[in-house]
Amino acid sequence: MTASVDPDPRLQQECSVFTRYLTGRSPTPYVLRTYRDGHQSLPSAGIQPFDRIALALCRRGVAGATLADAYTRWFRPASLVRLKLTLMLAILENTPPFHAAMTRCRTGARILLALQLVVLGVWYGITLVAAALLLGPLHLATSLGKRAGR
Amino acid sequence: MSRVVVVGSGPSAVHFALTALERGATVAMIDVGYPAPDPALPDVDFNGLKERLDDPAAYFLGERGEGVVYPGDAASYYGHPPTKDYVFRTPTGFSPELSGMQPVFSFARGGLAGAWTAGSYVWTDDDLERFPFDHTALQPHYDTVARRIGVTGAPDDLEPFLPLDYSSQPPAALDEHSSLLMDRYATRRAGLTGSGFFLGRSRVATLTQPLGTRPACSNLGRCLWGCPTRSLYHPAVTLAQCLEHDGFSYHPGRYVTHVELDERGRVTGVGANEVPGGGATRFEGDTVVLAAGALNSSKIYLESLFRQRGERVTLGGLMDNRQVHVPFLTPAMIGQDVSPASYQFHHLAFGLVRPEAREYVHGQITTLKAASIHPILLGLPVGYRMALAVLQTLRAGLGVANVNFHDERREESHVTLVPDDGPTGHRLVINYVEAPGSARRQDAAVTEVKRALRALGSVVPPGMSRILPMGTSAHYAGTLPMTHREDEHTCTPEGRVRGFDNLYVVDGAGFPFLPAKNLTLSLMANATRIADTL
Repeated sequence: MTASVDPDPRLQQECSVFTRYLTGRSPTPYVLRTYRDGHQSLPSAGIQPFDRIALALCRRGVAGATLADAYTRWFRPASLVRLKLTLMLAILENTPPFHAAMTRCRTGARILLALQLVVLGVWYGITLVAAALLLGPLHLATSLGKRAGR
Repeated sequence: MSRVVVVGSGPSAVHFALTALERGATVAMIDVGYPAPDPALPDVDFNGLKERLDDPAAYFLGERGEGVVYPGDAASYYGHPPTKDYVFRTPTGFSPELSGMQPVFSFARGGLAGAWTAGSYVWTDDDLERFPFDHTALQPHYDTVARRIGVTGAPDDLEPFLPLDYSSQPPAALDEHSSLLMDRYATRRAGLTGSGFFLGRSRVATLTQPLGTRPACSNLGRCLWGCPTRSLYHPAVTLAQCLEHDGFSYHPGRYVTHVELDERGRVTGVGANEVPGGGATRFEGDTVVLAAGALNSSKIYLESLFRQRGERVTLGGLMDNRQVHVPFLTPAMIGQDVSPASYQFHHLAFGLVRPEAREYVHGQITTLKAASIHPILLGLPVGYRMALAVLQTLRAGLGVANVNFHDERREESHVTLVPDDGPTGHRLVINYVEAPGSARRQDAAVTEVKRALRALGSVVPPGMSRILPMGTSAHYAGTLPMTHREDEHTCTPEGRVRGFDNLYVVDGAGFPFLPAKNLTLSLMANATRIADTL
């Protein structure tokens, strides 16, 4: 998975947003190249118009990626966004300097860790509701539009 | 026994060959034999590889990213990494027709054992009830093989089911999670054993003490990616020992298609195609031994019969172990750290005795240490960033119980040939039909395993158990069973194929029953036993 030319600017933008979304850091040139090359193995079947909308939202920044990830996990789990995020995760978990932080264990008192999870869970719930309100109608509209176009 | 041709280089083949060589035979081993890649940075541990390799993503995910598990992929909680691709590579034109199972084939040097998890279990008289010999016939050969490969073991509650009557090495130090489960088992032992659940140490072919040129396990955490030190046994170790004998020759790059017969029906050698290339070659021998794995050996036998008689025969009785993965969480481990630099495979094994179903269910418990995490995150019901936080919090308490079920011969599960345009003119057809009622029986056993895990203080998340497709275990057997009966397409108790004076089967094809316990050690012991009888 090595590269010779600069990534497509859109892939570069995605990679940058996804890396910051997942790790809070910017991608290295190696990660950028590997992400671009990894698209050779990305499944391409079954992409829907909604997927392009969700991907465009991701490219706008971490907040967009947060909403798109939350929504697609439940309502479009095999979407292009999920595929690309999966590729990104797989690269980051195997690449310095990201792998150590990605694969670490959170250590400490169990009660505090449990509380952290509860807070994160509540935040995730709010995010999911917001994502459903924003993306649900678009998903529905594109699905209906596709059906009407047949 | 003088000139012996052995087909294949897996566990059965190399242990048959070594014993035959020790008895004075001349052995030619014919094999496709795709070699394993040289191990990357053999002294470096799992995380060290990520730091020190120039292109770590290529190593862990494959040159084309083929190791990435995407949503919708039917992956298990641990699959085979790209470094094991050589194990599953097949020659051009090899395209079996499959129904009811998804078997894996290996043409690698070392065969499917290149991807095993080292579980090494002695079969008892109960396991061998349908074999034409008992445990006492196999026991000295278990011992021979254990001395060659190094198998760990320690007295525990599993001893009645997993006997330790072989020369064993002490087991590795337990990881913290496994240690906690063992401690809990000790405090709840009476209740658990009373309900038929027995926990103990896995018996594994991974060294805890040096053996020959192989060092003890140094906890690199690279077991799944291929042990770079050979502390975890690979048949290439025994192949190297065979090569030290003057009477041994190894012929890779040959795909054996059939055995050749003279006009009296006596086997005179094998016919093979060169790989790559396809040119026909032949190897002569006084005795031919099929050890290419149950499915490949069956194909060679079927092809040979077709050439001899012009008929396409069907071999019934194909077996495989059904496997179910049951993930669990031990909350008491939350908040602790886990070192990826530790023995990665299972430390614990369990047995579930189900008298009402007249069965013994075997399992192995693997706690999460070094691993690819993205396949785990895929299964969590939240977005990836949240999933990462969840995994990082729970990681030290995660594990998988791999539950294995026995199988028995049924005529409707069979292999046969159909014509095609490939190099042999035939394609292998594999049809597997599950036994009636087996799903219900498996559900009941998995429920009992979950109950036992809960008694050990673990939580079993609902809906996350995975019934692996038939064929995943790669424990294929039963198509040419050893029996005292004089039936066609069977073997004598000494592994000789009936109807042929000098054709032997020493792999799983000859097993008339498939216990739940992993078969590899018994494959090696049986091959050694047969070599001893020739």
